[in-house]
Amino acid sequence: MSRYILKRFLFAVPVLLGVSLLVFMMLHALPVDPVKLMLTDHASGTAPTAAGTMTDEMYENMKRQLGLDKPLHIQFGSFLFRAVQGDLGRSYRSDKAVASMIADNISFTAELAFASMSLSILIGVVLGVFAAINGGTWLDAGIMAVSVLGVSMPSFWFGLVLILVFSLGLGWFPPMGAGGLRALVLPAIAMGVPASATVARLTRSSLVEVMRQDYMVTARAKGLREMVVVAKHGLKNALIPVVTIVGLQFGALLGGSLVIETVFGRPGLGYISVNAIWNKDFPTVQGMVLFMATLYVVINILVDISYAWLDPRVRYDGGS
Amino acid sequence: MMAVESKLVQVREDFSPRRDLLRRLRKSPAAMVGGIILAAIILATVLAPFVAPYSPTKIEAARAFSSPSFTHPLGTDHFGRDMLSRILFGGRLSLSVGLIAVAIAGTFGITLGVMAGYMGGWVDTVISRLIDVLLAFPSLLLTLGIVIILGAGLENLMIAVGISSIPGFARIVRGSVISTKENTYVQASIALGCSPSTVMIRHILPNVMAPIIVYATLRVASAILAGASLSYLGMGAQPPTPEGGLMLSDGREHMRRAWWITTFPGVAIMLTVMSINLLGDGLRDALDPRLRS
Repeated sequence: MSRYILKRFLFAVPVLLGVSLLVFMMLHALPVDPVKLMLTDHASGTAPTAAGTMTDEMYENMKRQLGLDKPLHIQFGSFLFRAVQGDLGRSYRSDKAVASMIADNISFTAELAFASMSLSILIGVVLGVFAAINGGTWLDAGIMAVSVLGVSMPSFWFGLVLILVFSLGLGWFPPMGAGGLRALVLPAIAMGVPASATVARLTRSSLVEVMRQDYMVTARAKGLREMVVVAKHGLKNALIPVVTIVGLQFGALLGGSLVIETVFGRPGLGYISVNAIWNKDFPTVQGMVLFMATLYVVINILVDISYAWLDPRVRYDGGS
Repeated sequence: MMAVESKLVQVREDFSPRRDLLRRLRKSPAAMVGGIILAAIILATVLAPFVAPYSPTKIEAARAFSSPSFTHPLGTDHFGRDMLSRILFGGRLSLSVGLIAVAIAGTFGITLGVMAGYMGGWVDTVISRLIDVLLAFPSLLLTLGIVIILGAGLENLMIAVGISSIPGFARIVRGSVISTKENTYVQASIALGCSPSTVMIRHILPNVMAPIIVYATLRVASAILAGASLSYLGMGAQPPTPEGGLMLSDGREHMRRAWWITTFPGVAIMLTVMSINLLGDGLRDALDPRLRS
């Protein structure tokens, strides 16, 4: 097992190298000159000199300061070297380190991701099990119909409707901001409920598959109550593939946080990224993209490992 | 002996995969519902210039924020533009985003997937590593990154959603090709001296189409959602284009005054995506050989 874990992390190294190369190239592929952007579009949005012109000398100085005068592979090398040490660059706008912006805001995104993920698993597994054990009935059909609606719903629109009804209409929850449990409820529902539809569909199909297995027949033949059969023998095996989808969902949640945090004006990684895009603050965008992609890769490795740990049939390394 | 052979031939002539597929689809109520809704949506959006009661972009300040009524069934927005007309024209854009993005993703993804799966060796290694790297990004983040490079706008958005869907296509096609490659008919066509491109296009591709069709259908649905999300963030369609995500972000500012602006465009997107998802699920069930009776 430990060999498998080590191997899994080693395999991620080339992927992460590729990811950082793409993210590095992103800044160079932009149709704008970062030096000019830095000199003319900084903070106040005005030109640095009264005449509104920049001298060649200023341009060269800034270029040197940003390290853009060096050859591309040297630039990538130092980009990588700094990133490994946790230096993800500095904002053009606030001059703050991107890493510290992440540190200041990650807890908001983490609590949102945790809350919506828990919600999606709770609702998804319960509905999926109900649909599966009532297979072929109107209850099954009804749950599946609702879940198709769920996967088809733009989550940001669902968020807007929640604000409309529960904040503006009923006044139960604040329509914006973060801090406290009440501010977390609506965004967590907006992300968690559409995600739960995917979990419900997968739980159902996986449990239906498991229910056909011989050991389920054996369990019933032993005279166990149906509840015990489903919970102990069925669900335990049916939930293994669900673990994978939960890992993939995490990526969707990270992406979704871009939109949901914007809808709810809620601080977090997504909100910072979107604002950085609007402000043409490209180093911040670059640092955020690199951080989120790395996080996603690490989470997926952890999901793979837990998958191998949960399901003894899966052992990719042959030994252990 | 002769009789047996002619009977075999006859069976083959009677069997049409397309008719078989339609027959299976008709048996699935969900696929039928999805197909009918989708057909109605396509018809309404194609005929939008004729059926829309008003111009989708004409500003009539005096009519701003009219609530739903007989003259404006879905109300008007902050510029007095008719929401129903805007949503009908917006449906065209949503469907185009989905279809064009999937066409881009399909073209490149299928080509890369077939090449990697069939040729193996270093070609496979290079393509597979590239796919791994692209799949390491959360999908919406990758799309956003590409839009930033290309610049905001509806066409760039279609390209970006398309590019970020390439790795998914390539991976699915690669897997199917690898399992198809071992079939005797493929080996036979190689032995007969067919060129690699002939083997790939004439013998392998038609046999991996089933999973591709299902994936492409479901992908149109997610491309529409991704397009709407990015337009909501201002990275896609620009005002005054009547696009769903953009309408919703306009509506966000006027929620207190006009609930209908933030409600109906979302319902329209959801219905479109749902009909495609239902159809895609039906197609998957109809094409899945394990479910054949």
